[in-house]
Amino acid sequence: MRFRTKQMLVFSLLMALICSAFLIFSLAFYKNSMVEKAEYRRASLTIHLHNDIIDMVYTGDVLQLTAAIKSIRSDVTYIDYIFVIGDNGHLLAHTFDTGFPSELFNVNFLPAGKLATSKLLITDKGRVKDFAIRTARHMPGEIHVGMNEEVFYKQINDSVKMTIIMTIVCLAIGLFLVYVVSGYLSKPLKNLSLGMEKIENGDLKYRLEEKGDYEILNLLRGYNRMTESMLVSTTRLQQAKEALIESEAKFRTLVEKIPTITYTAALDEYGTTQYISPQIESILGFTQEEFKANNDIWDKQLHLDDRNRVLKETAASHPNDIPFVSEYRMLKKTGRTVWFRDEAVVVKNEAGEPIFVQGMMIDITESKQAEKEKKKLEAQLRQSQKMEAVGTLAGGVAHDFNNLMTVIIGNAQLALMNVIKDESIREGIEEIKKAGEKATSLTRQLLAFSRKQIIKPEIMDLNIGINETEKMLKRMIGEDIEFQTVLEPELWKVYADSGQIDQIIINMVVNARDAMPQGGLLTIETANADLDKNYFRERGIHEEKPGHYVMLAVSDTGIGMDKETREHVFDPFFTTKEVGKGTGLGLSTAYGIVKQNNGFIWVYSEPGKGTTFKVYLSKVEGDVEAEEKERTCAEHPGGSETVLIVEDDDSLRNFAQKALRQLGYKLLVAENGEDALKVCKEHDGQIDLMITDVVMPKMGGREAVERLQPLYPRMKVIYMSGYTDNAIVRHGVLAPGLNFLEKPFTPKKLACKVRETLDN
Amino acid sequence: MKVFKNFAVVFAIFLFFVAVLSCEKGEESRKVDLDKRVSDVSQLVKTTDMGKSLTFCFDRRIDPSEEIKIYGVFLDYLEKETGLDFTLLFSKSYQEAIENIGAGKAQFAIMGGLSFLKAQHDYGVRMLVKGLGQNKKGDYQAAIIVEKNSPIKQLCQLKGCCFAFGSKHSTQGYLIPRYMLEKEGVLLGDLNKYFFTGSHWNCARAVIKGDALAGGIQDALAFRLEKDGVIRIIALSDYHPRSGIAVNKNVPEEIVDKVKTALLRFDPAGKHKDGLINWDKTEMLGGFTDFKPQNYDVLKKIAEKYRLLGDS
Ligand SMILES: Nc1ncnc2c1ncn2[C@@H]1O[C@H](COP(=O)(O)OP(=O)(O)OP(=O)(O)O)[C@@H](O)[C@H]1O
Ligand SMILES: [Mg+2]
Repeated sequence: MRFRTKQMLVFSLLMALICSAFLIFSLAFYKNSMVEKAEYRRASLTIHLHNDIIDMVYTGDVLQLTAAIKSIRSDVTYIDYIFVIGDNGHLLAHTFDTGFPSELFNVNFLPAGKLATSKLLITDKGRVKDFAIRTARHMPGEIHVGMNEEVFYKQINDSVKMTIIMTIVCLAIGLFLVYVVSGYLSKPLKNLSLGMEKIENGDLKYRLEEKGDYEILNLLRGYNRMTESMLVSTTRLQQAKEALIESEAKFRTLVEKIPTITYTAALDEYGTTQYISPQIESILGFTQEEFKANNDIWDKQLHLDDRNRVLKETAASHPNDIPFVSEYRMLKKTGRTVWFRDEAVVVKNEAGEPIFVQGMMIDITESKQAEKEKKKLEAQLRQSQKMEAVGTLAGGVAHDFNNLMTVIIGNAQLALMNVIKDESIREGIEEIKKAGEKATSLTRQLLAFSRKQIIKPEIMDLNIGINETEKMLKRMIGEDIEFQTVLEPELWKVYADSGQIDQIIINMVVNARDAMPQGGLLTIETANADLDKNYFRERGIHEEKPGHYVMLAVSDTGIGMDKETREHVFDPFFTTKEVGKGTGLGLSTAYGIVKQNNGFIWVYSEPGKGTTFKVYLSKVEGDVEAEEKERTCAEHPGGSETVLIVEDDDSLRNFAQKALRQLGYKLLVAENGEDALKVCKEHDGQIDLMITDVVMPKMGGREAVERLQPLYPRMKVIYMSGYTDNAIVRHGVLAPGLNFLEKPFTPKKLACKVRETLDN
Repeated sequence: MKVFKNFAVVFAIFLFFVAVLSCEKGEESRKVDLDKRVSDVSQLVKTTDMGKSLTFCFDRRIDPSEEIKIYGVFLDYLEKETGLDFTLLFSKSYQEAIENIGAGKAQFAIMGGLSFLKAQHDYGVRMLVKGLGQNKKGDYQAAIIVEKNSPIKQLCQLKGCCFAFGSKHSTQGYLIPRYMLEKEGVLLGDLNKYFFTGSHWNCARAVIKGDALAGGIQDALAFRLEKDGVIRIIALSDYHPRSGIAVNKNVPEEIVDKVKTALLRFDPAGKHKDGLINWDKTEMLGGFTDFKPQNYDVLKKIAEKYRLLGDS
């Protein structure tokens, strides 16, 4: 209840109490005494009246008596009537003007022995009290006086009414005063409570108006001083709080955002977790709550291989106050492994007693993996360096070897063309030629394996490539594995480098072999495929390239792959093979090649159910004819044009010279670039074709061509080489527009290439 | 709130008391129609229970209001002594008093010798006690008075005068004065004129006013008036027994005894003096004494001589 209301209530109750008490007192006692007084007055009036008229009563002067009582009656307002009964019981005199009210006569009975009595009468004039008094003691005569109560008591009632009204007025005035005073008293309180409200709402700047009486003024001043000091201290507090929050937030973000788990653990048997930062969930999969609830979770999740070691380490460090530093593995909720570097120290209180352990667990999985990767990479690097070395070696050997083989095979062929009479010699030469061809093919394989072969896309039949490598493949896979080819006889042609195709096939076959250490079935399959849009949609490929494709599939019945391996097979350097066996480049190279050729490659595999790789290459629509032409080139086409041969290898130069001269060409020869320039200066006339080696001492083929080309604009060039060489071949792929003759070559191949170049 | 509750309780109790106290005691009231008037009021008779009390009849002599007081207190004394109720009845004349007591309208009456003798003769009324005058004298005199400045000094001078008597039945106011006049030779016929004023007081007044040259009144009043210098006494009679209190023959004996005892014990000069008012103005200012029937013999003879008894 409001203070003011309460005050009002209490005061009004008190006032009402007092006023009512006063009223009761007035009504009960004052009125009574007034009535008594009045009664007394009436009695004494009656006695006076008696004294005045008694003589007349007994002298029997009725007229005088009547006149006397009438005059008394008119003098006293509240006397309604007077009548006198004589001793003989008869009416002696009365004040009524006409007749006498008969009912009145005997209404008030005055018993013998009594001097006076009164009776209340109800008349139409209101209440009338009839006072009867004996004319004298022991006398039967009676004097009756009728006193009108209404008139008589009007005075009393008026004064009582006045008292009540005065009381009410006093009460009202009192209440009003209480209201005003309580308002005056409660106003500062109200102000104060307003101020309090302001404080409650945080408005510490609000000040109360300082006015009022001494005590109230003091109160208000005190209040204002209090709010002032509150403001000061709250501001300070607020600032401190803000600083605290800021620093707390800083540290919290530090603790919770760095990719490191921070923790505090009790120094009990379990190392119960007291705090662990939320990163635990993203890193280990367990929530903070789980970690706090189960104090052996850390213990349990430790990698079995590291467990004993780590436990031993903690046991050795914590109690001895040695900082704990360890790297170990833990199992995620999912079962995967996470590497941690855990560094912890024992925190002590001021007394130097150890309280808890505080530390952080850094997720070093990636660096561990990177480390592993690095090791792998190093191995791969070594492997590729080895390969490089092998390649370089093979390249170097192949160069000379090819030159030699070109000479051997060329000469054998030339010999066969010329020496045809002696059958036995002929047969011998024939054998030389065959052996040379075998050696050539070997060299090719060697180069392909060391990825040093020259890429020269051409329209080709995959079946032919497969057939050509089949023998070698069979050798590679060994006898435990059954090898089978299912080839589409009407297979469409593709535009690709046969060397690369070989490379793809070889790699896939080797992979299949490695997947079947216990033996199995290896199938190479080709087919024509019409891929519609649905095909791409079903496989979720965005780039929809419906059309005709040639499919090459290599399947095995080996160990297969799980999903993760499957997802990574095309990643460079992804391998599951031990160091030295695989580099992880095979499939990534294949992928690159296939993409280069606008195709795609799929893998289908389940662990234990074998694997199928499918390669799709676009079908070639047009230029099949042109390619066919080359194939159908005449046995040894000849010509009369002038041909410059630049070759540092004497025997090869001689062989080429010999072969072309037989066909009717005019020949210029040079040992190297410089020599070629000299030869040309001495030569008058046109040079139609230049056949040059790429790598030569003093001046290479390419530079020689650049020097000579301006002199003989219509001169055409054929480069000869045994392996990739930067001068002509960029990144192992032949620059377009260049004519290239791969070593070793046969006289026929040379004749055809020369004719073809000249005719173009 | 608790304070408020307490206040409420106190206030409720308080209001209850207010309600109780403000209930006035209801007074019995009667409804009266003042408009029903009668003009012949003689038919209205007051119902009263005065009848069951004993009525004491007195002569009215001086001033009614005064006499009411005088006898009122006397009756108070009697009531107190006897435990009986008494009502006062004034008789306007001796004749009325005789009739009142004779007919039983009053049980007791104060009576002079003549009245008594007549009442005894007519109604068999008994005398109870004899009154005592000043100094407890059982006898009184009659006085012949004249106006203060009257030249008359002797009774004989009254022949041919106008003479006033009191009541016709008065001993002191008629019987004895007539006897005194006749003894001096003044017969009624010798008088120029004589008349009855009805009371000693009226008689004195007639003399003082000059209606009569002389008058005969009781000695007590005569002495007082002479003392006041209003009249002069020219003659006093012999002593005669004073007035007494007579009783109706039908009043039961025990009541008569009770009243007689009370009357004899009455000592207005002594122990009962304080309660009385102007008792000395009465005939019995000395109280009462036993009555002897022969006391009135002289008066009886005179009365018979004047034929005042019986056939008068
Ligand atoms: N047929 C297969 N069956 C099972 N796993 C295969 C098969 N083919 C490839 N793989 C998996 O794919 C990995 C990558 O193969 P990829 O040919 O790219 O590299 P590699 O054979 O390991 O090394 P490289 O071919 O460079 O010598 C292999 O290490 C192997 O785990
Ligand atoms: Mg491989």
